[in-house]
Amino acid sequence: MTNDSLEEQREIVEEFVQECTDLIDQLEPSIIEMGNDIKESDFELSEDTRQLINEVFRLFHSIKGGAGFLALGNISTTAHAAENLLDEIRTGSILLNHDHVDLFCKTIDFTREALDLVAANLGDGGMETQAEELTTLLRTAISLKTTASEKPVAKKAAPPKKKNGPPPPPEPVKKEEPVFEFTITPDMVERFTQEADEQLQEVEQGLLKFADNKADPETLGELYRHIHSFKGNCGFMGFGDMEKLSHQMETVLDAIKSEADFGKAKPADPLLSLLDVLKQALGDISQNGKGKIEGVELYIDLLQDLLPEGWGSSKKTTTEKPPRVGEILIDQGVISEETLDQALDIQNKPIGKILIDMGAASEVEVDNALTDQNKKRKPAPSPDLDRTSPTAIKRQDIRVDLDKLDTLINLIGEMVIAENMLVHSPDLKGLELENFQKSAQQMSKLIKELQEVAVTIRMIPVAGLFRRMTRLVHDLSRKSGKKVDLQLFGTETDLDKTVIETITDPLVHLLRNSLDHGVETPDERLKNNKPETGIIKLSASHEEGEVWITLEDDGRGLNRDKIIKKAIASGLIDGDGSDLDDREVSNMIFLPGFSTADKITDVSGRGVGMDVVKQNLAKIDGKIIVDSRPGSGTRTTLRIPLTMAIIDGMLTRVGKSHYIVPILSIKESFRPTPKLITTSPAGDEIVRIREKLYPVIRLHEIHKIEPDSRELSEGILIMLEDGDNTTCLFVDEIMGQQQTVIKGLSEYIGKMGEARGVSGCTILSNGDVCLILDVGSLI
Amino acid sequence: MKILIAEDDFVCRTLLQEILAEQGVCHVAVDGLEAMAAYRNALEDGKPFDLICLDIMMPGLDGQQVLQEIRKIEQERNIGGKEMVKVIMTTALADSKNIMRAFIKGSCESYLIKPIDKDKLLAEIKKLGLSAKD
Repeated sequence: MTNDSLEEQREIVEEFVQECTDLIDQLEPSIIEMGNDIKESDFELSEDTRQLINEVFRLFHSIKGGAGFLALGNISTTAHAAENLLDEIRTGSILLNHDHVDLFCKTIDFTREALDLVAANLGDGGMETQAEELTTLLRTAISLKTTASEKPVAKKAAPPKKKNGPPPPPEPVKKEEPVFEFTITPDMVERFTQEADEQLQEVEQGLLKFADNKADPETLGELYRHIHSFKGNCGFMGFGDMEKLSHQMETVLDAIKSEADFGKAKPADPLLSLLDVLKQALGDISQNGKGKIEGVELYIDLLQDLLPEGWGSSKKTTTEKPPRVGEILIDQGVISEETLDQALDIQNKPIGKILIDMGAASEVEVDNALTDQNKKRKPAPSPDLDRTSPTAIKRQDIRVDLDKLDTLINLIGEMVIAENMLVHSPDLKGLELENFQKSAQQMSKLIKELQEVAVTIRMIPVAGLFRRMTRLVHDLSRKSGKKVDLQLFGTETDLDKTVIETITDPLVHLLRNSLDHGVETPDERLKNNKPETGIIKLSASHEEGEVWITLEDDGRGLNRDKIIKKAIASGLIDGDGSDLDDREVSNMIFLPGFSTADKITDVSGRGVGMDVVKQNLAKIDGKIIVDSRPGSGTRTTLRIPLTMAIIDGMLTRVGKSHYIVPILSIKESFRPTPKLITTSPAGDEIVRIREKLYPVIRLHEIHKIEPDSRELSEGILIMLEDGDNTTCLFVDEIMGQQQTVIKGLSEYIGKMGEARGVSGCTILSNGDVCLILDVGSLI
Repeated sequence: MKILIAEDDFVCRTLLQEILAEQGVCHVAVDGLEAMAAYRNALEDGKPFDLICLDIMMPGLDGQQVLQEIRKIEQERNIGGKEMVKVIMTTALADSKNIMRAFIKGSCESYLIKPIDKDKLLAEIKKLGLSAKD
């Protein structure tokens, strides 16, 4: 009996968590949209906004009701307070301002966090302090009946109390209770110290190598990235001294990376000893200290002296920045960035992993939680289900362990191979087997369908990811003072769950860049005859068997001259760069360490970001393309293969070797007549088709194998297309089409860039191994 | 206070009416469609209900649909915040889907599971700030 009711209770709570999460996902964009109507002076709420407020009110009301029923006190009181504030705004006795919007966002964040807790422990105990703080803030906002004239004053928020970084700003603070308060929980500090410790260790390893003159550029890049992340974390947690010091170390490392002349100075030694200082400060924090560094200015000066004369004169701004940069940032509303970072943290860091590492949760518990999460994210598994039960409004789903799904997909992959081996078995050659052929065909069809279904199982719509970006844009635009309208398209496009997780980070980087560097300030925009509000379009679509995620802004675009100049200065290109087309130039921004920014800020400018974007995309075999028109905007396209497991391939032969060419890249194939072929003065072969010229690639030359014939007219040319590039591949024979299960190459042959033109391998029906061509890198 | 009791079962309806009689004027509806009509009429007359007690299993429209329909009308007419009608679900259905659907999708104020307990019902009304006695 008790067991039964406990089970029932659990079910209700799970239902609640799921419903609420959906609700919050709807709520967030509404809140932000609500904020868009805010004007500088006194204003009447427009009809649309009034409706939005009602909507938001209702959603908070729902959360309150549900939470109240389940005795989740913390959630319901907070939602109640938010509801009250909204009611006041609705009736017009309080003027909606940006602080309110921020406050609502924060309530949402809190509720999300609380829901996670509820999902794990069936209760929201332990969130009392946060709930109380938030409720007080909301209540103060109510008691503070802001009128238009008072508004600017109320806007000046006190700095977060719990941060020990910058001292409070000199302005008199209007009321006791700070409007913004970002709480750093002990749990977060613990996580931070753990991660920071690991980063420092990595840095130490790297520095030691460097001191022994054994560091290659790759190690340096790694080293640099670690200290960059460390700095970011420190800033986020509010450990100002540590942030400042690591920032300076980063600058020195940047100089090292760019092979600046340090003269007789050996930068590694001071860096190492400063690393110890950081470690000490970190130890201090884990002992509940404040991470203060005695004489941090001295250390920074020390590093400054180390830098070669004139190094980064354009970057001087950073080294000379006033010590109270944190303070300035807070005035600019850096809090919102923190909330953002926190949100990101929650969203895409493997929190479970950290928890396991800390021993706070067992692997099983985390797995359970993850499955829960999956359930919440998973859309209806197949449209057919909906069709058979039109009355069911709720989507029907069950929870499945991700591991099981992966196993299933792997098994299906193996089955495709087995089917190939069976149907094309050498034993059957030359036999007339009509019935066998029929059943074999039937089986092929079924397996193909099965495989298509299997691929969609792991797919979830990008809508969730996109919605998170709404929040990011909101926070960033508030912080930077730029006006931006984010438009979402194709949110219903499905993508593999892991792919979505992998592209979250890159997308954040790209969006930040768009806002930071792309979109201009309102003044500048007006001057250039552009509407004051910038537009960023984020869209997802299916194209050429890939998913394209496009981010387009109407900002100032990339500065070609600047990029070329920088590229020449960094030795990335030879010559003056005039032979490069716009696209080639644009794509240079993805080279590691490339940044044209004059100023290095805490957010961007180091040139690390784009490198991260590229690396993350490489993980999922994705490509990234930048198109930019100076003055009118930049378009970045992430091209991600739809499935990473099985492709349609064309089996070809060169000499004794077999190759699979992905069918989607093949435009046509033909046997050329000798008169179609010309040889350019440089010795390159060119084939002319329908008055267009295409270069010829000889596969046997690239892979150094012996072909049947070297005469182009005796073999076959396959025209391959990749993006805007088209080329013709010379092979001996086309053997047929087949489903191909991609198996990764072993690391010793498969390292990126080492095996040219090969993306993986597969097993043929006769058991032979065959290489899969990567059209992109061939061209 | 103006109360609407939507309930198809005679005994339940009478019981609720008895309990709520001292709280205010009680109107009754025997199914979902009638409840909707009563709600609309009251709204048109400018004397909307303050409280609706809503059963779920009713012929025609069920209580959940009625609730969502009401919220939709409120949305269309821009009735929001504290002016939204208070709804107490009174039903024998105690499964998680129904409960959460009423709270989250329908934004009901309270959910009581049958058999209806007089004290509980009055306590809920008091909590909603509708009690006639204060």
